[in-house]
Amino acid sequence: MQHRRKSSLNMNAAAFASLGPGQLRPGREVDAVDGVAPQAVITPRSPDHLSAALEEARREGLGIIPVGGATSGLPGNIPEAFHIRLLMTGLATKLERRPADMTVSVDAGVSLARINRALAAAGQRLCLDPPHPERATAGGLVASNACGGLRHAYGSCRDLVLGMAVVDGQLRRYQCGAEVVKNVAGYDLPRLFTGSWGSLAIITEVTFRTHPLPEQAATLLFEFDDEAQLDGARARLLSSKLPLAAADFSADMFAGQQSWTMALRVEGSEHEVAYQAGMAEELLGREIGESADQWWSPVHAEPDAAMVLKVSLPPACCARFAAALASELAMSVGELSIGGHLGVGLVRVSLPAGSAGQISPAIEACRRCLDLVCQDPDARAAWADFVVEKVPPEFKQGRDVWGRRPAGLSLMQGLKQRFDPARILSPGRFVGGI
Amino acid sequence: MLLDTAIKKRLRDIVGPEGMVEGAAALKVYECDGYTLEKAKPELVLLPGSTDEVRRVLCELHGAGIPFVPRGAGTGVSGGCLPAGIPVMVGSSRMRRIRSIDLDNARAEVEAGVVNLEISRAVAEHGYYYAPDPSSQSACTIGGNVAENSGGPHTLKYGVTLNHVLGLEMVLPDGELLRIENNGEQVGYDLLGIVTGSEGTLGVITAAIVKLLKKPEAVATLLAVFPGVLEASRAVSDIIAAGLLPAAMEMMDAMVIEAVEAAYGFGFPDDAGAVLIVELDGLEAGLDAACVRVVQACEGQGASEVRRAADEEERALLWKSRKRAFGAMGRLTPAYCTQDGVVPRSRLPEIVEIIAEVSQRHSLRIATLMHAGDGNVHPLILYDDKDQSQVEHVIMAGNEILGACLDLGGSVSGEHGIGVEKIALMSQAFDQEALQAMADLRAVFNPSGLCNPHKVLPSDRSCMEVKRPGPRGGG
Ligand SMILES: Cc1cc2nc3c(=O)[nH]c(=O)nc-3n(C[C@H](O)[C@H](O)[C@H](O)COP(=O)(O)OP(=O)(O)OC[C@H]3O[C@@H](n4cnc5c(N)ncnc54)[C@H](O)[C@@H]3O)c2cc1C
Ligand SMILES: Cc1cc2nc3c(=O)[nH]c(=O)nc-3n(C[C@H](O)[C@H](O)[C@H](O)COP(=O)(O)OP(=O)(O)OC[C@H]3O[C@@H](n4cnc5c(N)ncnc54)[C@H](O)[C@@H]3O)c2cc1C
Repeated sequence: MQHRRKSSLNMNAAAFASLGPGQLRPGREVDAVDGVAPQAVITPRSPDHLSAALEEARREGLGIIPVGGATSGLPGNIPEAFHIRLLMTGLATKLERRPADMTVSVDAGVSLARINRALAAAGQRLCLDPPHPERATAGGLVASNACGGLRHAYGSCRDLVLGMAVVDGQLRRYQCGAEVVKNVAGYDLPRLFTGSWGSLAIITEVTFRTHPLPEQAATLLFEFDDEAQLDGARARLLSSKLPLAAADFSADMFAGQQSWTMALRVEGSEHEVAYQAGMAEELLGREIGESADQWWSPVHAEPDAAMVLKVSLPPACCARFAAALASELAMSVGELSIGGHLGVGLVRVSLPAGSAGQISPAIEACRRCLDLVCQDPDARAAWADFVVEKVPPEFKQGRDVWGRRPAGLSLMQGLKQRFDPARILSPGRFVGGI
Repeated sequence: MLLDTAIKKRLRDIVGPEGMVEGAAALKVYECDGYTLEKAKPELVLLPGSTDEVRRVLCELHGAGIPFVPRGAGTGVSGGCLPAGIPVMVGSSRMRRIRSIDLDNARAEVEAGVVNLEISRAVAEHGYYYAPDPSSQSACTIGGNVAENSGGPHTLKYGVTLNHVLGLEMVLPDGELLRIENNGEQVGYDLLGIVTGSEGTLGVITAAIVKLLKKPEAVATLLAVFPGVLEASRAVSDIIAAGLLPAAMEMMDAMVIEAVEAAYGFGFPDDAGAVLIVELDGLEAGLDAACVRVVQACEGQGASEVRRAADEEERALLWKSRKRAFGAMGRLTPAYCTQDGVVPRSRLPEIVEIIAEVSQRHSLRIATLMHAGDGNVHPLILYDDKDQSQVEHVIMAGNEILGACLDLGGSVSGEHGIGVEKIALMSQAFDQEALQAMADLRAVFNPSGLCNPHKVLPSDRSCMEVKRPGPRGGG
């Protein structure tokens, strides 16, 4: 879709006059997204500042990309227009926990680590464990529907967000959802904005549900010889009565060798944790458990990976997919990291820094392997697909990084049209060029 | 509006004679849901037998510009499928197949008309179940559950319908088929999340893919008896403060207990001011310790007795008493109206006091049931439907209680939806901009407005005014 846009922004415009020192600076190379540098970086300190910046953008047809901790690497298609990098970390005052209600409301720029420190003092937590909690912000987590291993038991942001305050692309400011754990009044706008990747509205405040902090937790590691063993273990485990908090796996390949590891997180009282460890060993064999807690710290979060793919597929296909991919790439790729959430069916594949030459073959192989393991009549998973989360911009040309055309794309385009008619919010970056 | 014979014939050709209901007598059952105070007969009820029939029906209606309303089992309690000003109803009662069960990936695909409890029954022998358990689960359909984003006693730990649906097959109002399926990782906007809870206004759901959970290793169900609702609601707060997350925490007050006791004879003490049912589940290993902490919390708030269901039979009877409490209310009153408000958990004692005050001021008896752990209260306002002045007080009392829920930081509906019943409260709950945004959202799916008009949003108020008391049942 083509829109008339001004090519540059007037940083002296009246709209920006209200911004104080440190809130507006010229854009630089480091601020670029997909090789496109913005003209300005704006750090609003209040929703009013934010509205002023959006107002200017709408008037002048500017493209804005909101940014929290930037820990996602800001995935998306090459921006259609990028004038303002809107840094949301300036909105980080409110942190209101209500332990008795098991909810917490925060400004969009508050980091996950800060939220969890505050909650821990009241014996609670926000059950999200994506990489880089010190930098990842409430707004960014929600806009990207982030999660970590705990998703197995607690779901992703989508399942934990109760309400939010937003400014949408029409510059409407409103609260949606509620601050209580149960609410079905009206259409569920928080679900619309969760996972909308900054393309419909700027999130200014979020209310999450919280959970009690477990007395104890343990990570149990198990090793397997091949994918069949790992998958057998998965099937036994997930059909057992073991209430896992997380069930991740890794199937990294190094120098042609693939190693198969499963990491389980069990939580509860001391007695419960020991009991679960016993159950797990009974099901899976001996646990190897060394430096187990290290395991969760970002296995797939190397910031300088050359390529990261996020693959969605049925849980029962994960191991076969990992094996097929490694065997396709064994000849051409020296090192490949594969791993993810087994119970959910979410796998990340990444190539280390310096392997740009292998990106195209790896993406092709990923497509073939996914078709191979998921399209057979047993799996019935025509929906399995992957998102190219991170690649250098030249690999994005002519490709939709979000994967195949999703069902309901015309509805999504309709939603974009309604909520951001002037295409000021992350224009062109989301699926189908939304 | 009167449907002409040509269109009726075309619709009959699609669904066949067994899929078409006509005539005043046959249509009587379709004139309302659990919200019985407003009634209207549709001209025609269509019961398509397949997704393709639904698609063809909607294409036909769209082409002819005829409004329609989707319907499941009609257990809704906010008038969501009330056919006022809507000539055609599209029901799911002939779409009751469980299409597939995939235990290895813990999911099942079921048609919209499948009754909630049937899913759990179908997988029980393998130790699985479908978690959301509205009290109406032996009658309500999965299509209706998705449309209302229904909860149930076990939402406290396991979440609502939204958290258990992995896919939907639906027909949009213009007849286009949409199939969304994933593992909770939809690329693009969360259409699944948007449709869930949209009260049949965005299209007709024809099937859902739901998550199956493994039954927990152990379950303990406790019954605590309190002098009053206030003490019981304080105990709820204390249990949460103790860091426990029970599977369910349900409360019934003295009036509900009286009705339930008369109906099912569970053996609740006659002097109980309130009872709290607390269910804990999980590992055998931790259960006894958790029970001890619940007992301590209850006794700390003056519980006169806390007992644990001795066996599965006693547990089942206890749940039956709770889940069928509504059915029992008829013993106490010619009519009653159920409200569905939510407050932050810590404010339960306050809403309890407000309900008592409202009851006194309007001289109305109000019985209270609660999904207490979620802060979701169902005050049942008892009245005599022949006494018009009482009817007016019932409406005022209901609105005052829901208004108080909002003032306390809560919501005007925790699980029953807005339907036609609570439209007027929407402007109290949301500002104009949010309501506009909601209207935008609906217009994307339902631009013609033909799908279930006059529901949910106050812009549709022209047709519907909340001037009568609400529904029976619910919760
Ligand atoms: C190597 C690597 C591995 C990762 N692994 C995982 C993983 O396992 N699971 C997982 O879920 N995530 C993963 N992520 C993604 C990342 O953890 C989350 O996306 C992140 O938590 C987002 O937080 P942030 O504040 O850094 O957001 P950012 O990265 O700054 O932004 C994320 C998106 O949200 C938008 N956005 C930010 N703030 C707002 C706002 N206030 N309003 C509207 N839109 C906004 C941005 O435009 C962007 O599209 C990984 C990231 C990396 C780099
Ligand atoms: C005794 C009793 C107890 C209850 N307990 C609870 C409880 O604990 N928790 C709770 O949440 N609710 C409860 N309810 C309310 C009600 O049962 C739920 O809202 C239920 O989900 C409605 O399902 P249904 O099949 O009866 O739908 P209906 O009543 O037929 O329809 C409800 C709404 O869904 C729409 N709809 C139905 N089918 C479809 C479809 N296929 N496609 C699109 N839209 C559709 C209708 O248009 C309508 O707006 C209770 C009701 C009663 C009478």
